[in-house]
Amino acid sequence: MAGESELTVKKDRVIIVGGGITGLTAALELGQMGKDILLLEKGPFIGGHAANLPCKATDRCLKCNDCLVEEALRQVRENNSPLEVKNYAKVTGIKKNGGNFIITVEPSWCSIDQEKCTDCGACLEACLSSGHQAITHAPSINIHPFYGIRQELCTCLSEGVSPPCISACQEGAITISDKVESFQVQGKGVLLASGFRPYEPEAPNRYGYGHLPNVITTEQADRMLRERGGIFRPSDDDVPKKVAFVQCVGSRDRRLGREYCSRVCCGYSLRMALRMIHTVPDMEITVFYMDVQNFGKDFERYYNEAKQKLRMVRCLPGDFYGWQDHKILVSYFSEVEDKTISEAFDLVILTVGLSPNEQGRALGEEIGLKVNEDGFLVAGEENLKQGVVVAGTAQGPMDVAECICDAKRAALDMKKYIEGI
Amino acid sequence: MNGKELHISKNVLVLGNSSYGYQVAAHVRDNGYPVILSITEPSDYISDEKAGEIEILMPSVLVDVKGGPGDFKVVLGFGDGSQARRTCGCIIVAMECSWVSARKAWNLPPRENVLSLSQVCSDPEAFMGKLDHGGKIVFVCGFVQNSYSFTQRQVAKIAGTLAKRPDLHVYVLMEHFKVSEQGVEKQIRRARDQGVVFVKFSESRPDILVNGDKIVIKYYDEGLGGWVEFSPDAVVLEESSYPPPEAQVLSRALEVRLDNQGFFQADSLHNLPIYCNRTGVFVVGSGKGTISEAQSKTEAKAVAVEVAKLLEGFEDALGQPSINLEKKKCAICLTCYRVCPHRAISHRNRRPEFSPLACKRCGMCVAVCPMNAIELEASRREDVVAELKGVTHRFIKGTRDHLPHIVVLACQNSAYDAYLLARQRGLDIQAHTGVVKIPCGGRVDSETVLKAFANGIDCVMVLACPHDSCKSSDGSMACSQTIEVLHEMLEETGIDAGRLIFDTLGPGSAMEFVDLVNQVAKELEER
Repeated sequence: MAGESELTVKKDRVIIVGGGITGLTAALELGQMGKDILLLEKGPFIGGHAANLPCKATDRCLKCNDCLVEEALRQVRENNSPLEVKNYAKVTGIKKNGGNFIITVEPSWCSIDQEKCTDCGACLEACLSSGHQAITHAPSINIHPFYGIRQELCTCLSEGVSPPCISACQEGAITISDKVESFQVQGKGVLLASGFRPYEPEAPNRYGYGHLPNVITTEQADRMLRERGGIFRPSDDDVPKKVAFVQCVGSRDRRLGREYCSRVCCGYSLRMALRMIHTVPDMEITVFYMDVQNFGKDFERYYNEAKQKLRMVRCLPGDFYGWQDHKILVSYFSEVEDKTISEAFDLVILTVGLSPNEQGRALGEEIGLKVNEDGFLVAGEENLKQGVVVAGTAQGPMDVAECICDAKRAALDMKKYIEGI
Repeated sequence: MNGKELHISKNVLVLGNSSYGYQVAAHVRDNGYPVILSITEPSDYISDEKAGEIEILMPSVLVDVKGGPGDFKVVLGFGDGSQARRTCGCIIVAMECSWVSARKAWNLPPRENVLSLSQVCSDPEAFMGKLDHGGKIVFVCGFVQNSYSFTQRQVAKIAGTLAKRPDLHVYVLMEHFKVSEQGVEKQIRRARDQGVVFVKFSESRPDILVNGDKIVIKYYDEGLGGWVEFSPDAVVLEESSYPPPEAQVLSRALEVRLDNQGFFQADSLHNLPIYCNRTGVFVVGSGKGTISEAQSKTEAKAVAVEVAKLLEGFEDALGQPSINLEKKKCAICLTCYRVCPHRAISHRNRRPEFSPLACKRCGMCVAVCPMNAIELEASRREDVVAELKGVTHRFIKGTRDHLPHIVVLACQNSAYDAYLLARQRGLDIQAHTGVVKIPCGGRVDSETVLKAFANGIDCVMVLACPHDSCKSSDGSMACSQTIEVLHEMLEETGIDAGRLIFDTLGPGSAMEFVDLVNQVAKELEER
């Protein structure tokens, strides 16, 4: 393990774990306050899940909050005193030693140096033309580096070939090596913004997710809309005519040990449905639901619009079968008709909930944070006194605006700790 | 106007109607700023020793506001007619919403056994004591208004406690389980385990009737498929939330907009979480839309951060180029004053004055000035025209093909980012497309558009933010109206109005940008 010299030890530095919307906002605020910050992001891009949200505006804004994320990313890009951000930096341990925290960082074995990268895109071309798909582009123009390496798809080393991206990069910004060593950094305070994980139904599941190609999650739908500007059937790339949303997948389900509401899914799925029907007006969308949670200030307006434009069916379907033409046969109990109905859909979108981030949770527990019944982190006064602050969805489901607000709260808490107030 | 003449105050005025105002004031004070706290109702939750450096004016109401961020001149009025004048750098509206009994909405007479949820919650012992002979208790959530998760938490808690008594039968009638607050799903399940009967309504709603001295509940149980009728011994109604009574008056005095229900904070995305249409005025707490106590607490801290950032940033903001008014040209029509969504323009001696601290550099005033007297320093008329010429010359000069020439005026907050993203991703935008960055859709005036046509352009596309996500509140809407007027003008002069297009787009919508432009190009080519 390399020594503490890897990154210069600075007094009063705050280490922010997680470069999602919460971590970024907290970093911007603490930076404005003149605090020294180091932000550690395990993935190739800052912005987190929120940066992958697509704009869901119809003929007007539906307050999906995508623009707020873009605004934060723009601020990071235009920031006068650039934030010290390290991508590909997975935190594997946090220990308190006297007044300081010692944070162990395990860098990814493949990375692009943000100082050197000029966003030219040569690496992406080289990767693609060699038949690989490990290099990807960021979801926003305000993210630098614009290109990133997906560790799980980067196979040159295991294939024993020399990675073409390295030779393609004129700046020498790319590192792909099995000799990357972990290192340590120190900080006076730790702000944990480790976020959530989107729920993914495990196999086997009754939805057919994983083996029926046209059963996708809202997370996948969000990315598809952001990337391609529309929603298409994975099996044939056609625009679906008949779509079903299934709410509360992985939420409010005691049998799965997930007895909590994920708070944001009603909002994001109904907005998605309204956006889809706006783009393709003859699309038929059915939403299978139990209850509809309030989302945002304008909730009633959107909910009324949803009731007018979508078929809202108050029941969660029981079974999902593969059908001809890769359709999905969904069986559900109709209270209106008082019987079980089987109906075929071109595409089924599972509205997945938010799960605790296990890595973040482990780190939190290591520095004395409590974990609530649902697996999310809870910070108390005693943690704050130790210089540990938690922010954003690491504490439980929140929407983007709530995360931004909470990050500002967290920045104030951290400022007080650092200044000894 | 030379900004350096401005006096900058670092005082913060907090306007409250409850102890929440004090909570906010305390965070601002702890963060190092002198606070003036005006509270509408006298109250004993604030004592002088607790207040420290907070100047408390109680009970007082805001009567008048002049000036702008950094230098608000406010007048606060007391009940006896006396007034206090103060200067402050920014203002926080920290009001709580009003909770109103739903009894009248259900058309029920005042009865001892018809209660509001907060009455029961404030003294559950007393409520239980009245039920010593046992009976049926019905809680009603929603129907009148949308229900809230934090009120259902209270219902679950108290209903669960009541149901533990074998002589009590507890029902909760509701439209939806609102379980989005932490732990509420479990609390409701526990209440159910304790014997509370939850009845959900989708297609119908219950009737609550008065029959002599009895209350009668009658409903169609959608789950059981049958009618249910009984006389409960007590009915507990969830209250409805309304904007604080001060909202209308304050919104006029502060020139901040209300949302469609009358709460502080107009329905614009960029007002989230704690901003409004005016720089230097912040809105926190349930008075800007019903939120939980926990969220209000978070906002109280967040606003302390925002206030400090704003006050410390004023010096820098003064140095930023803003608006230049050519006084000789100004016809003193004050149209600029009327359209400015940020309230950055005031008038003194019948001359418009621009506050560089409030100005967001959107250029809406530039677009509406009939005399071309206003110049936005960051995006000067001549620069926009030069850029327009630049992008058009580039492809008009050398090309001999018959592909259409398109100019896109793209808002820097949305479409321009989408364009840059499309370009960076190497997406295929039709060949002769020039994109000019504009500060806001609201900056677009007929002159700019006509200049583009004069340059030999086949089609001008104006791509701005979706309405309600415009950073200048009205910019995008004003832009679409300008385009409508121009459409009429073009038709009258015999030019195909289809050559001028307005649309909206998000900043990450690279593919939508490409699709829009290429679709237009295809249509033009086919003509």
